[in-house]
Amino acid sequence: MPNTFLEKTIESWLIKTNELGYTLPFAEVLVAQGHAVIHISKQNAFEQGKDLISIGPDGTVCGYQLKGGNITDHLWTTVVWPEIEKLRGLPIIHPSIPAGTPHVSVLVTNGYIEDTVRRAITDLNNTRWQDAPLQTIVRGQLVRQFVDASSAFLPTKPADYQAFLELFFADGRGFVNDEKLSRLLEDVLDLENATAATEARKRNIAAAILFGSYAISGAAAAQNYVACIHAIARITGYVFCLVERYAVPKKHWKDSIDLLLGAIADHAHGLESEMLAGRYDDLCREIWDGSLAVFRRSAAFDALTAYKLSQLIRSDAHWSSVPPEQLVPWHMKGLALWGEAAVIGLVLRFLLFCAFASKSERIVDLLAGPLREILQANTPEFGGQPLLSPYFDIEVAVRLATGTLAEPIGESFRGHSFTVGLLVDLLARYDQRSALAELWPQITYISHAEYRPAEKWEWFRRRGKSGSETSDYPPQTMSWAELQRQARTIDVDSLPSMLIEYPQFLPFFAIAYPHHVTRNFVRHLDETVARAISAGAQVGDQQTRSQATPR
Amino acid sequence: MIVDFPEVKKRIDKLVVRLVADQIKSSVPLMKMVGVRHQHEGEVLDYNTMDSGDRKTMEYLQHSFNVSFDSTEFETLTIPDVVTRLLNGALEMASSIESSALDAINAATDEAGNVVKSADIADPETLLRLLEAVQVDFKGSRSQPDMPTLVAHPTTIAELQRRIEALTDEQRNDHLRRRDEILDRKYAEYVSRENNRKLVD
Repeated sequence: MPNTFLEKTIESWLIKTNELGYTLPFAEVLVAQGHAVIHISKQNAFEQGKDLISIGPDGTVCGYQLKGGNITDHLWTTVVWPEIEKLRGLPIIHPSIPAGTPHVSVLVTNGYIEDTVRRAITDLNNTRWQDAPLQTIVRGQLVRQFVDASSAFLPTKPADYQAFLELFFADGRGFVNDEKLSRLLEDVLDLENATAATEARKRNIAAAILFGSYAISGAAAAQNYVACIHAIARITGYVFCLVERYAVPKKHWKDSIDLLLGAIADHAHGLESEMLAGRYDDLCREIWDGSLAVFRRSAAFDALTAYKLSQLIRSDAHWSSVPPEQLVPWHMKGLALWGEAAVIGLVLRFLLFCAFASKSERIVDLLAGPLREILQANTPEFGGQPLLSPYFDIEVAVRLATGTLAEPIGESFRGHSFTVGLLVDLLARYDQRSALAELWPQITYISHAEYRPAEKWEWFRRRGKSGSETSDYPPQTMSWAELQRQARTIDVDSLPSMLIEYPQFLPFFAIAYPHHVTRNFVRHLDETVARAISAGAQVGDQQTRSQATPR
Repeated sequence: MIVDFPEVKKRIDKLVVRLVADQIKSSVPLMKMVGVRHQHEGEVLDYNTMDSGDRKTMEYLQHSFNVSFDSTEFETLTIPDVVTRLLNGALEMASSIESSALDAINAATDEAGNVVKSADIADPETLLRLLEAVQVDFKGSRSQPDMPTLVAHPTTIAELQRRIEALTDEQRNDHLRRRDEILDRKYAEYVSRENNRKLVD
């Protein structure tokens, strides 16, 4: 039975999105149809007229040119036609495709093609382009394809519709509501269904990416890269969750994960360009921005930092494309210890700045500074202003700072911390004995808390149900040698296999799931970054790790 | 765009508007005592008065205040800075509203002819003349007059209280006796008015 509501919703989404907004779901539709997507152009990059290249299930190579809006006569003549000539005429050069392989050219738009243009294409297909006619996909066909690929999940209860529509119509300038997105993804992925067939799992993954794309369309349309990075990291996490839980064969999800990681990188690249264009420095447009700017910058710089670390981990030389002289002022402008989730961001910044290898004590301050703050703020005594735990995101912190909380938080956060232990570990790994010795008496008053799920797949769930929250005070008298030994010990087996298989996702996991960042995770991340540096991603003499290489 | 917090901004807007409105109310105590009626439709309010039945049209006055912020100062403006500037503007507007309200009351009393002019407004004698001039209602019986509210400058009120306390017993008894006589007349007028509220053939 046709689902008119879903069709109308998808059509509405297609109308309001641009070509970048529908690239990921379109690629996922191709994957669901059996294509292997081997290339997606970065934002605004025009590569031989091909925004996307795929190999169909029958081996046919396809090159796609993706457009947003209607193809008018003027647009066709001045812009699209020359690009189509390149799309058709230039051979596809890609390691996966033998040289000289012919390809099918496809023009895709989320709008319509005007009659005169359609006539012109038909004429060209019958004459000059007869050997390799141009195929077209317009909005109506896209809607059909998206509806088919989305049909693995159809909201059936009013509450499902409501949650989906609230995400769909949300203000794209803010963060995507994490709780609602996670609930939607758990439903779409059918996470509690232990008996689903593998093919059904594959369809659910495709549907999750499509529904996730619909849900973040407001943020995508607003080019709100930070919100998109967080939301796509959450979608990726939930696909990992399903894969890890039910051991879904890799052939059913690898392409989808590649698309998701590519989409995160694409949005992060957009963020980098935007920041370099000056919009990070010049973002105050309203009277309240004076109070909110530091929070906005904190989130943006953490996302950029995660991207740069991710590039470093996958040995992408562009990890150092923004020099420290630019990064440091950005870091200072976006420095706000608004909660313990912000500490995770500072850990990422520390690792990135260490990769540039300054021996400056100021880098170590990125760890020692927040540690001192936590020891003072989260003291068991009354009177401190404890930091929000990482279960409270930046939106809550902003509401707290501006007196706009809808209801009281109801937690005191005294006497424990979710980040004190991992800061101690890092300082020990970087030989910061004197700093730790000075702070040790205070450290012994604060217990380190963290969630340890019994099932690894619950690492990727917004709120795990299995396992325990453990809370440990450090020994009052601690041996420095033992502290360093513990800090250097990494239990890789206790980490989810997907985090081991996709190390480039580690930094994005850290910003999307700060409440699931454990001491062991941070040790592993540090080790991963260190390995990436020693593998040769560093730039010049500056980038040797200083005394900060204890392993 | 760099991620923003639009819902928080909307909430701050609402809270600040409420804060400013509360500030206006607390700055204009006279207006707090006046009932509020919203006109939900139409362009004019056409009404007649209860006592004379004269038809009138409400003259609405628009009150506003301007506060400007330069975009170059957005980066350093804090929420308290913004609120302080808005409140300063709001207080000016409150003063203007109060002044307009007093003008309207003066015009109405002039028109009704119950203006009492006195060279010494803090004289207890003036109180009796004022009571004589206004209409007084009762809650059913002579012992329950609905006494009018006296609005005056705080120094005038203090002076009036001082002079009343300074009255001799004889003067005070005389004052109360004359007040009761006035209220007796007012009660008779009240009963007459109320008796007129009836359906007749």
